[in-house]
Amino acid sequence: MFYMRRLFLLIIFTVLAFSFAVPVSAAESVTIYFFYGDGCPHCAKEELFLAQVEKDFPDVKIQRYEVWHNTDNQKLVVKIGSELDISVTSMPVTIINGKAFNGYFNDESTGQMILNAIFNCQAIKCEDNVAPIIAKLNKKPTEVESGPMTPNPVLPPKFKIPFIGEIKTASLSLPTLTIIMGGLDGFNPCAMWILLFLISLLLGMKSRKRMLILGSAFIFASALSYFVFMAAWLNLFLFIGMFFWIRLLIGGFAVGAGIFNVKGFWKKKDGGCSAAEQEKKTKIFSRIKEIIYKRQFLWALGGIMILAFTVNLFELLCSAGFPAIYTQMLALSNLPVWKYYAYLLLYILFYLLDDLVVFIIAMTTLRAVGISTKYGRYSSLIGGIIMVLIGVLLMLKPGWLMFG
Amino acid sequence: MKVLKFGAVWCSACLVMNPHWAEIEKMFPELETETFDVDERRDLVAQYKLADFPAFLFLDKEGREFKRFYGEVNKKELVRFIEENKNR
Repeated sequence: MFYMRRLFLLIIFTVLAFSFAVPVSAAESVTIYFFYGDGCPHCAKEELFLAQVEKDFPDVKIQRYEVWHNTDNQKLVVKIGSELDISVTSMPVTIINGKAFNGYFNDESTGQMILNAIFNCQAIKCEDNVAPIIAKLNKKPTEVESGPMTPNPVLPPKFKIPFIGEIKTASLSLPTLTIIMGGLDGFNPCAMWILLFLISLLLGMKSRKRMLILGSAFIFASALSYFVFMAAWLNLFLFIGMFFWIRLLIGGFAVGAGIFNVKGFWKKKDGGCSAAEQEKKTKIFSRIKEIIYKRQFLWALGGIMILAFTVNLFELLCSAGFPAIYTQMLALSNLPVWKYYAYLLLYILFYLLDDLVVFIIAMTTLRAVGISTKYGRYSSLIGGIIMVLIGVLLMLKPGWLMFG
Repeated sequence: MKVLKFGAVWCSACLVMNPHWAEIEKMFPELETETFDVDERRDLVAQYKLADFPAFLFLDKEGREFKRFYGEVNKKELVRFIEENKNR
């Protein structure tokens, strides 16, 4: 009986010992898959954080993959994204236990989220569902030679732009660039002529209230169509922007569009309007006339908004350079979603500034005024130079264009 | 001397030139001018083979064109030209 009792206690102890031993020794090895771009400042910030994690947690393994210059690694991260059905949008991408962290804000926010994912994996056995995909493709991680990468790309304190002068890099920020680019894009004469058409017709109306509502509706619809178009570009770049060749393509396009704009400064010195486009413009003119003189006000309102949408979409070809380059630059920055759209709104506000000025003057003085095309010429020159600069940076030093 | 002025409501440069011409016409009340909307007078656009707007055509007493300006023209330049040629 005594032996039976001892045996029973032994079994109880053994069971208890093993049942407690499982969580105590459960510090499972955790693998972090870190996809970064060489020269990307957010990636460098995360690298410093991950280097510390490696020191503090010996059971954490980090596999690094450079994706800006290595096309195989680009394919790999996209493959992992599609196989695990996770979103891999902006650099850097960190994958732990099948969960992706896009971008890196700071140690307190993104860093803490990564730590939480590590703790979670240490507490429960995580399934490494990335390893089989990598094994299938037979991919080896990028070898990081010595220590962490450069924390920030070396940005000169100031640089000189021809015709513009010296620019201090400390004064450059995303809001400043947004305002400059939106304002310069706004002087593009493509969309101005249609507003002038509208104003000339509105001035012939008897009701000032109707004039004000129809004119405002036109400007609002123009802003909305531009916003939709830019948001589409932004989402495209957020989705595919990590690819090296996309950046090269947009960079090359920016250089080409910039040279075209600079050439435009010398080509059209008199600032006149080309007679070649007269037929197209006359057709639209008669269409607007038809719309705004509709007896039913709501028909007129709806018609003017649809017209603003279609005309702006057609005219986008003429001004696609700035929005495409700006949205690519915005996509490189590491921002919360709402901030991306807030920047688009800021850009559009400055883009529409000259239209608003012309409209407000017309409504208050009841006279149509034009903005001298010399401003358009100079904005074409300055804008062209900025485009070339951004294009070169996109191709060679994308890290300089990353804000946030 | 007579000046034919061609412009369009959709052309910003034409709108910029309107107040300049209003001032010039006050300065030279004897100057004969005629304004045409290019959308309404496409026959004249073709007849004079206009490439750009605004266009300002200067005709002598016999109705022969002796000078034309395109686009945004400096007001001082126009005044000087009119003073030099007002007796043609």
